[in-house]
Amino acid sequence: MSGMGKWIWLPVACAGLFVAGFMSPDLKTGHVSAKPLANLTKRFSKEEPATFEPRELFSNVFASIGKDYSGSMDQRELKYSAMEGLVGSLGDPHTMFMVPDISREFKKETSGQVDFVGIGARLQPDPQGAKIVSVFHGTPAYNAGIKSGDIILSVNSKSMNGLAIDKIISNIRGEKGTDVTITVLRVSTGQKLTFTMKRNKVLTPTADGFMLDGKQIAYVQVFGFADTTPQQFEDTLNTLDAAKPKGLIIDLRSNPGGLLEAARTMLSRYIADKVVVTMRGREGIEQEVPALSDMAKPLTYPIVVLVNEDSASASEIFAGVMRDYKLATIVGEHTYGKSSVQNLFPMPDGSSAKVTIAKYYLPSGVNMDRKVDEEGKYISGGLLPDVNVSLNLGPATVVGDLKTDNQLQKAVEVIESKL
Amino acid sequence: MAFEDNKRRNINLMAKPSALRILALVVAGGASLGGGYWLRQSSDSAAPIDWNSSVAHETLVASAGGIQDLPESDYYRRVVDILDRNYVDEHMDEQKMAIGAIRGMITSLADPLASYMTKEQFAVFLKNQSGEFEGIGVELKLNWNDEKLAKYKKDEQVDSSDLVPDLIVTAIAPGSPAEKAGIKIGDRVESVDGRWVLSARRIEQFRTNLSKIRESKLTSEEMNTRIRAQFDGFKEGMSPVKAKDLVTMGTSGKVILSWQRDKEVLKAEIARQNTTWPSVIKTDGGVQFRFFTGAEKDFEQLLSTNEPLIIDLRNSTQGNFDTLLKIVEKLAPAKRYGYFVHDDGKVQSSLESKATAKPWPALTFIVDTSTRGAAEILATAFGVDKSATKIQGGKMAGELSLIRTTLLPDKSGFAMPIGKFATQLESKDLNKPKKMAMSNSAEVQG
Repeated sequence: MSGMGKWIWLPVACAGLFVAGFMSPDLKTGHVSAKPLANLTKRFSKEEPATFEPRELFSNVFASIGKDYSGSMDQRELKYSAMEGLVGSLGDPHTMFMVPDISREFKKETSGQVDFVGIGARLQPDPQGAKIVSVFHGTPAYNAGIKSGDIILSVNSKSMNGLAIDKIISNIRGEKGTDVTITVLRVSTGQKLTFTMKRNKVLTPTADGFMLDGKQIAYVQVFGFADTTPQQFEDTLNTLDAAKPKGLIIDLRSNPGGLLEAARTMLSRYIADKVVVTMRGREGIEQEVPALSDMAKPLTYPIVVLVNEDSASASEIFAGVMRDYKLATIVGEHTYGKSSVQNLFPMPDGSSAKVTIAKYYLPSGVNMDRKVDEEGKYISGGLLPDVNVSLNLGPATVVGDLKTDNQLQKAVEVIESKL
Repeated sequence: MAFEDNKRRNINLMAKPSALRILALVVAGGASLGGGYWLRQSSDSAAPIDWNSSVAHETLVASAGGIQDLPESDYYRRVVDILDRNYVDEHMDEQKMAIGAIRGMITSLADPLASYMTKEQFAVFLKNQSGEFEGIGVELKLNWNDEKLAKYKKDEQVDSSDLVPDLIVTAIAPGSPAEKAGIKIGDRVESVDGRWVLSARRIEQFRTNLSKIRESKLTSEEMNTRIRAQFDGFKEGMSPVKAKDLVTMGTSGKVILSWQRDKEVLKAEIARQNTTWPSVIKTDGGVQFRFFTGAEKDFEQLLSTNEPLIIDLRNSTQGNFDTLLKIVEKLAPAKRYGYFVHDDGKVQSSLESKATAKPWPALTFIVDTSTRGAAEILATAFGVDKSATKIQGGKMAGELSLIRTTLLPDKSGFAMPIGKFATQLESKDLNKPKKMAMSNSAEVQG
C-alpha cells in the first residue's frame, strides 16, 4: 500500500486541472465573479425551470411584432426602442440607452469640443419655440443684433412651436457660409424681428467672466463641466484676479453638470487634498475622491455660488463642497438633486449605455437625491441655498446683467455684507 | 485469488514503462481540464456571452449585414451584461428589464391601437372585455391626429402639441353612473377632479396667451405676474392617460368630471362602481348584442329561434375578438368572409367558416359611427350579401383592425393590431392567407 501513497497527488492534480478548466474563461478575461457558481447550482437544482427566460420572452415578442404587426415598423428602430425601454425599466433617470446619433452628441458635449457651425447663441426651451439665454461676442447672432431674452419663433420661415430643443438647434446649425433667417419676439418691445445671417464656426466657451459694472466684484459664468472647463475657468479667474476684485460670484445656474473630474480640478484651486466626494458603488464599496494637491491658492475674498433647479450633478458637487468647507455662500434656488455618477459603455454599432455606477456623498454626508411625485414634479432633494431668492422673470430680464438679474443683485448684496 | 491478481496487475501497471505512464497521466489531466471546462460552459449557457473574448467579437463583425444589424437577442444580452456588471444596484430583475424592453417596443410603434398596459390596467381591460366595467362605466379612447402621427412616425419634425391625444367617450355601459349623468358618445373629457386634461387645444391656448402677454406693452411687474400665472396654470395639467385611468378604474369614491360636447362644457360629480353590461339586451327596436367574452353562446341562442333578427350594434365597445372569430368560424355557414391585411398588403389571415352550419335567418344590423371593432367587422363581413343581411343606419366608425392581446409573466400585457379587415383583397395583396384567424389572444407563459 505504500506504493499507492506517492500517487495521491494524481487525484489532487486532476481536481486542480478540473478547477482550472472550469475557470479558464475567467483567465482569458481576467475577471472573476461568483456568477459561474450560481449558474452551476441552477443547473443541478431540482426546481422547475421558468417557462420563459427573460431573453427568450423578449426575442419572442420582438419576432411576433416583426411578423404580425399590421403597421409599418423598422427592425433597427424597434431594437433600439426595446433597449431604451429595457434600460428605462431600472427607473433611474440618469441610466439610459442612447442611439448612435445621441451618443455622438453626448460625447461631443462632455468633451467640450462644442464647436459647431451655427449662429453663436445659447438656447433654452420655451413654449413658443426657444429662448435665447446668451449671445456670444463676435458671433453671427451677436453681429446681427439678436439679444439675450429674444424668443425664437421661426427659422427659415418654419415655425419652431412645439419642437424639441435639439430639433430647433439642428434647424439653426448647418453648412458654414450658408444663410439662416431667424424671426424672434423681442419681449422688451413686444416686436417681432427678423434677422438673416451667415452661419459660421462657433466655439462655445464653458467658462467665461467679467468684472461687474461699477463693482469690484468678479463674475464668472460656468456653463458646463467639460474637459476644457478647468482650463477656461483657471484662465478667466487669473485674468480677473489681476484686477484685484473684492469678491467673486460663480454662476452655476442652469449648469447641468458634466465631468466629475472637471469639478474636482476646479475645486482643487480652493481645497488641497481634502475629500471632494465619497463615492459609494456596487456592493457598498466606498471610495473617497480627494482634491488634487499643490493647486490651491490662498482665498482672499468672499465667494458666492449662484444656483437654481437646473444646476445639477457636477454643479451641485462644486457648490456643495465649497459650502461644506465654508469657502462660499450658496444663493438662489434649490438645485436639481443628482447625486450619482455615470459611465459610458459603448456598443459596437455606435450606440451606448450611460450607466449609474456609483452614488456620491458630499463631505457633510448629505444625500441630495431628488425625489419626485408620480408625475415627475419635484418634492425634495438637491442643495438648499443659504439665501433663497427666485428669479424675477421680467421681459427685460437678462441673466448676468446686474441691472435686471435680481438673483445676481442678491449675490452682490451678500458679498458686500461680508466686506 | 483473482482479486489479488488484479491488485498485482495494477501495481504492475504503475511499474510499466514511463511512456505509457505519461500517456495515462496526460489523459487523466486532459479529462479533468476538459471536464471542468465543459461543466462551466453548460452551466453558463444561459448566462451572458463573454464579450471580451475576441473570437465571439470577430464572429459578429464578420456576420452579413454589418455591425448595425446585430441580432436583437445578442444586443439584448450585451446590454443586460453591461448593466449586470456595472449598475450601482447589483440586485436587478431581468424579467422586469425584458418587460421594459417590450413596453419600449410597443410604445415606439406610435399606433393608437397598440398599447402596453400595466398589471392594473390589463386587469381592468380583461374585465371590460367580459362586460364588467369599473369607474363611471365608460369606454374611453385616446384619439390622436392620424396625419400628424404618420408624420412623426416618418421622423419628420412635428409640433409636439399635435402628438397629444384627445380623450373621447366611445361607449357607455347601460345603467352606469356615466349614463345617469348624461354623458354621451363622442364627448371629450376636459378636466378630472379640478385638473384640466392636457390637449393640443390647451397647449395652443397657452402659447397664444403667452404670446399676447409678451407682445403687449405691460410693465415689467405686470408682465412678470401674468407670465408666471400662465406657467403655473399650465403645470397643473394632467396627462390624458392618467385621466383615462381615473375615470375608468376603481369602484369607490367619486370623480368630478367636466366634458365637452360641441361648444358646450358640462360638469358633474360621478360615482365609481362596478357596472355589468350584459351581452344581450332585448329591446322593442331589436336585440342589443355585444362582443363580450363568451357571448358567442348568446349569439348561438339568438340564431336558434330561426326568426329574422334585428341586431343593434350601436354603442359597441371594441369587443373581444375571440368572440367574433368563434361566431364566424363555428356558427356561420361555410364561406370566406374576408381577410385581415397588413398596411403593406401582406395577408395575416382570412376570416372564414368551415363549419357545416345552416344559413342564418334574415339579419338586419343597426349601425352608426358608434359601431366599431368586432361589431363593425361582423356587420361589414355579413353586409356583403345584401340578400341575406341588411345594414341599417349610417357609416360606421372605421375601426376594422383585429387586435391581439398578450399577457406577460408579471400580469401586465399589451395589445397590438395584426390586420385590418377587408372583404376582398386588392390586386397588390399577392400573398395567399396561410392560416385561418384562430384563437386570438396569445398568452406568453412565464
